[in-house]
Amino acid sequence: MVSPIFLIGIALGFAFLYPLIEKLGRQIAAGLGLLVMALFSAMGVSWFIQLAGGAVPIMVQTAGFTAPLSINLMVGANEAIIIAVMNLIGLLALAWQSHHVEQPWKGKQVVLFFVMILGANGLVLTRDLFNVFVFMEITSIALYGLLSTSRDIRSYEAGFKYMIAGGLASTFYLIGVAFLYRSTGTLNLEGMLATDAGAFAGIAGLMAMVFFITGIVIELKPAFANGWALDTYQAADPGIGALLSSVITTAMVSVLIKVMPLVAHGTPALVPVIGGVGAVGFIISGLMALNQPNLRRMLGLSSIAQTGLVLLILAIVPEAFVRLAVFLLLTHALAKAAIFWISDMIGAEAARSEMSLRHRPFLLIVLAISIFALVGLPPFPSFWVKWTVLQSLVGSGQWAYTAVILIGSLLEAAYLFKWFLSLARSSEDAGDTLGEDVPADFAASPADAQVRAAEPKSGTSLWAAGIPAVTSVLLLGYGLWMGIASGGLLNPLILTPIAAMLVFGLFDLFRLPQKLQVILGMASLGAIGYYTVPSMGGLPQIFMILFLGGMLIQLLAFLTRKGSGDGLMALIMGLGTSLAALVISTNALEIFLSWELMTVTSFLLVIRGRKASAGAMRYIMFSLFSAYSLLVGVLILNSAGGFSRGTPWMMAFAESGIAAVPGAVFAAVLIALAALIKLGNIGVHLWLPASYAEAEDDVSSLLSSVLSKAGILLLMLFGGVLTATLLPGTAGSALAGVPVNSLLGWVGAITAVAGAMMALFQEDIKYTLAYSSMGQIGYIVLAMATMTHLGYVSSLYLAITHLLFKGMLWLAVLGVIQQTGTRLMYRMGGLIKKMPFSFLSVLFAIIAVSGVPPLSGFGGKWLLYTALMEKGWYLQAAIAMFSSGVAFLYLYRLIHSMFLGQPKDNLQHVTEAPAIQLIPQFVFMGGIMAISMYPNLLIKPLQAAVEQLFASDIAWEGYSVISSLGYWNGNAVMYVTMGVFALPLILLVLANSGKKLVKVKQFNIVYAAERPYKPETTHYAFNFFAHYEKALGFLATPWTTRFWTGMSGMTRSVGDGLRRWNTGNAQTYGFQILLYLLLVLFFATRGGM
Amino acid sequence: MITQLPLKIFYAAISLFVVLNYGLLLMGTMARVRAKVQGRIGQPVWQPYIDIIKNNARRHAIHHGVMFYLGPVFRLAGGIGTYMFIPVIYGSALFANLSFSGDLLLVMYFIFFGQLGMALGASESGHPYSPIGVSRGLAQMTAFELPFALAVIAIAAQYGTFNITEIVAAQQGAGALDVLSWTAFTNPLAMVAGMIAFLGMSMGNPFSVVIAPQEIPIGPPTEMQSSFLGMLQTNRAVFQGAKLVLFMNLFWGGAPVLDVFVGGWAFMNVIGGLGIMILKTFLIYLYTVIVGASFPRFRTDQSIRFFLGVPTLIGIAAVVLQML
Repeated sequence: MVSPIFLIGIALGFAFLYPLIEKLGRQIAAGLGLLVMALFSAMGVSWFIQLAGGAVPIMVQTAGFTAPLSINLMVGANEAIIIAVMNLIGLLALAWQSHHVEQPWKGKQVVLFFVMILGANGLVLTRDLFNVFVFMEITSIALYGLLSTSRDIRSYEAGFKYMIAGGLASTFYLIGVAFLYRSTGTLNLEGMLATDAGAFAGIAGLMAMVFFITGIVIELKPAFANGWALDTYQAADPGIGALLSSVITTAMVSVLIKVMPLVAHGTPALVPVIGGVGAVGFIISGLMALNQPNLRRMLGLSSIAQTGLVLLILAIVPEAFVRLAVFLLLTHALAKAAIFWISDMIGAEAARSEMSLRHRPFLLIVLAISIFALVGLPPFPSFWVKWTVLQSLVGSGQWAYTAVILIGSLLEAAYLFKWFLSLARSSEDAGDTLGEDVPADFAASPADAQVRAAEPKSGTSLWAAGIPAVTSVLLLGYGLWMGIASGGLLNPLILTPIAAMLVFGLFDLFRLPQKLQVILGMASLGAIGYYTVPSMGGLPQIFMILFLGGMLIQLLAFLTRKGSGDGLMALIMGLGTSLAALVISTNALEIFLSWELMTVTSFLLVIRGRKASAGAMRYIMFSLFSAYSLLVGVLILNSAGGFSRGTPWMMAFAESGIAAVPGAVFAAVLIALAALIKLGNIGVHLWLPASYAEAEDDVSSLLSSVLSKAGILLLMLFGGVLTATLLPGTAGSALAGVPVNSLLGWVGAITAVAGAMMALFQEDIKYTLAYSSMGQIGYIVLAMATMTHLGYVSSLYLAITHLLFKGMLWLAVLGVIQQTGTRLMYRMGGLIKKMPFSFLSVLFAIIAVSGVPPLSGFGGKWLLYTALMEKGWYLQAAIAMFSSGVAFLYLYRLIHSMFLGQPKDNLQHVTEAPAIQLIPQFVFMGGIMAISMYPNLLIKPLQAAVEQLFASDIAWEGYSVISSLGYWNGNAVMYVTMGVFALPLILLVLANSGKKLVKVKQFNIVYAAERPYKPETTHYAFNFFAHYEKALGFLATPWTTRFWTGMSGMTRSVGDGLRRWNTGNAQTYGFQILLYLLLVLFFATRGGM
Repeated sequence: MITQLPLKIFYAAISLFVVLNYGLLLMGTMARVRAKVQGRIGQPVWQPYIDIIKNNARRHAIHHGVMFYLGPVFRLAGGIGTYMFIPVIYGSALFANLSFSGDLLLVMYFIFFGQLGMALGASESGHPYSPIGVSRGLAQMTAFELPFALAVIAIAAQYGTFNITEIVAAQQGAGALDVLSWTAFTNPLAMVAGMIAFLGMSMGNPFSVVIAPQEIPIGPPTEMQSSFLGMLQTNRAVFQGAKLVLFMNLFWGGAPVLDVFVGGWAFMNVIGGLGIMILKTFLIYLYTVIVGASFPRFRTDQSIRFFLGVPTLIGIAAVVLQML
């Protein structure tokens, strides 16, 4: 093995020789520099490979003596991988800066850089505490030097503040080390660890350790004593920010990792204090970053938050998990460096940028990967770390730390995604579209926002994208490796979403035409279905058919897209396969993993919309909230042994005790919450309207008709636990003993009304349909919540018919929007003559939605009400009936406003939608007709599937389905309807046969002997239900929107308030650091928090 | 089955013929009643017949498109269908219609069939007054549906079934005169909620703004004329009959076949049942006319608030009583 001493020697030597080498030629020098950095990184890799194979850590003595007489360096597996990654980032940073457009590095900057690298590597390697101080100083001095070369004039001031803070930190550290030396008689870490713990006892030992640790912690820029660091981030060039965040911080944390055993050995009371420092840093930095207008400062805060998380994990997990903290640290280093480099392209001042990266999809992908990695989404390493840590925390009941990690992660996601969305939005998106946009009378449509295109700042655009991309590739590979190593990705179907995205991403790279991709996608989904469905049974089979079949048919409509691929199919395939993975997942990890993948892919699909960024923001925040609820809920069940059988579907019921395990009710509430958010139920539906409506038109259809069923799957997956009762053990409270599923039922019922009410007052057809979906999902939840055989059957029946008619509606509407160029219903009218097939499709769909016999919708209503009556949920049934009446209103409104009434002059040229879009609609229509005529085709398989969970309580007699309350014979009803329809039709034709029957032109109506002025004034469509709004409009008041925006506003205000703590004054900063020392001392004497 | 079906259809045709004529005469009679209240002489009782014949006999008819043409067809199909799914006279095969045994939910939702089709047909005319009427009608409908739904749920809970025949059977105590076993008395709250909802359903005053029949030509039939209008008028009779029979079955003990006559006179039992049906439905209709003659018209938003107020509370009370 190479001796680590070479690393320090070469860095030092190269730094001194560099000015000479540069005389030979800048290119040669720069190339050599890159080579040296590559060598360092390679050394780390080679060490890691050997050490991970079980070799003994390398211990090198220097100066011809053994420790403690001389300094010794050590490379364990942790050090090796830190060195590998840290130097790789150094390599990339050097490459970036050497080709920078505005100020390429040369001469002294490169020298300073290598000195800094020397210091950072030294910090990682050395085992001598005084030597740590020396390397700290070397690193800092190099950094001050680099800072002074920044383009921003404020960097001098920032460097000065940094110097003061660094000086104080070093002083504390030195004092601490001096006292430690006094107690133990050695400066060597191994020596100190070998000393009896008694040597650290007493006030002297405590003070020593407090000074020592505070010194290190201040270098890590803890919350409330880090204004100087933030000023530095703000003033420094992004490239230097990357070094500060990814190299220096990594090195400093590795020092802390190194001394943690000493703290645990000498002053265990300090361990929870370090955890507290981390927790506070994680949360407070997140809060402060929320409204932070300056991008670089925000990124600095993010770095500080991540460091906090690492500290927290170091302090709370057993020593065997230290590797996790290292992984997290390196994930952050890689991801943050990439983000800093990308931010170089964008104006630093605004966190909500006026720049767009949409024209650079490759960079956008790199940015997305980096942000996903920071937030901890699968499959990135931070996901596995958080999963393992939370598993251990939940298992041991450490709720406070669990909450800190989850809340901090949410905050982190909030500001990072906000920034990401501001870069990913289209040039027309002002970023504030959350509801329909109805122009005022005679007003021109508001001008679309103009967002400038960002230009690369380093080298060519390939160079600028390639450098950050290296970290993305590493993060991805590293995460996948961790997943496979930990067993989470062993199931091949769980891996398919990632594989599908990569494969279809490659198709895009090779400019495969979109149409071909769609066909390939359909073939793949079909193949997955072909190989999985036949071997499945029961509910999973039904959901698999629903997801894959629904997507497969609707993908036909995507065949109208032109040109080469643009990432669409990669995301759709990711979504489709993650849904399939969700169906087959058998343990907690697989469920959560596929849930998150589904969330991420659908989020990225939503972003593609023209004005979707604001909706997508809500979508991702609520989705993450949902995912975290699910995570905790699943982990609670997991720790109670709920998943041991590996068959969650059956687990839910067959093992009857599941609802009685400790904490089951919390798990039930959390899982139900997760599902309700995903289903867009009332109270947590805020994300739904804008996400569905502002996504691309054909994507909306997929989201609303297929994806919306994922929450139902989740609820049924965990059905058994939902019967857990609230407030177990207490009797007095009103809520005690109420099962969770009954609350769920109420939420579903209210959602059904609220969705219908809100759909009523929309002028924008897509918002109408979005709210309509919300209401329909309410019925599905309500039916499922009964937890009876009939309830499950009706829930599934509703889910499947909802897929059919909502698919039809969305696709028909997609055609209309494409042909007319507007989404506002009152601007359409009279389209029945131009688009008769679309009209037919909408007509069938609305009859089916409204539940009017003879179409299948009635079957759904019949099953639903029967289930509710049998359960004894009378009031819920009444609410459902009321909302189905309200649904009738918006359904009539939409078909009237679009297809009937007065055709507009500007829409005279409109033609029918392309056939390829009509085909899926007619396939769905065929499905509806088949189910309407022969309800047994659908109900019997559902009945059989649900019978595995509940005893059946419906019987059959021919085509009649019979419950305890009544029967329904879809077949007979259909024939009777046909009969009674034929009779008047024949009569009317006969009555008209002797007449002169004239079909009149558009304006030929009874209009007080006048001719209408123009169609716009004659088409009654705008504000269609004004009277209804007057009477019941208050029911559509956005109470929950107010609540959530209030919450978000409050959180932001807290963050803004906290930001005032950092005044920008160097003296204040110094005072804050002193205060920090006292606080650490205070908590340490208190024995922790 | 094969021999039964034509017979059933034949019976249904007789039943339809009866209700059509009964409905037309009832409408004519009530129009006269209203006229008397207002101090007029009024139209002849057979005026509805004249209207239908006259409209169908017109030599011209205009239409605005396929949906317009089919609108009245939908409407009448809805009316006939609704009637067909309700058993009229309890215990009589002749007046069981095609209901098999009659499912309440099916009837409730089939009512929409005609309304929807008619609304679409009227909309295609392009006349703004048609959708205005529809918008008012639908809005009002959602409002009275709530107390009605609550009443239905209370009844279904009370009798443990959605089956209309069983609901009527459960109301037969000791013969046709045992009024105390009618839902109206066993479940008075449900009856009150249901009967108030019925006012809205029959669209007389004070809930008549939907078609505003007298003074302004507004509402779905605005553009309808000739045979189209004739068909709508035909439907009015059938549909009115269907609704009256439904409410009679739900709350007022239905119309059971008598068991007075035996032997060759047994057919008179069915005639007796028919008599009971005529008496009861006449009174139910008269009730709406009395209310209509006594109260002025509500605006749409007023009627919505009305139905969602006291009647809904009564309905909730009826349901809650069943839950206790």
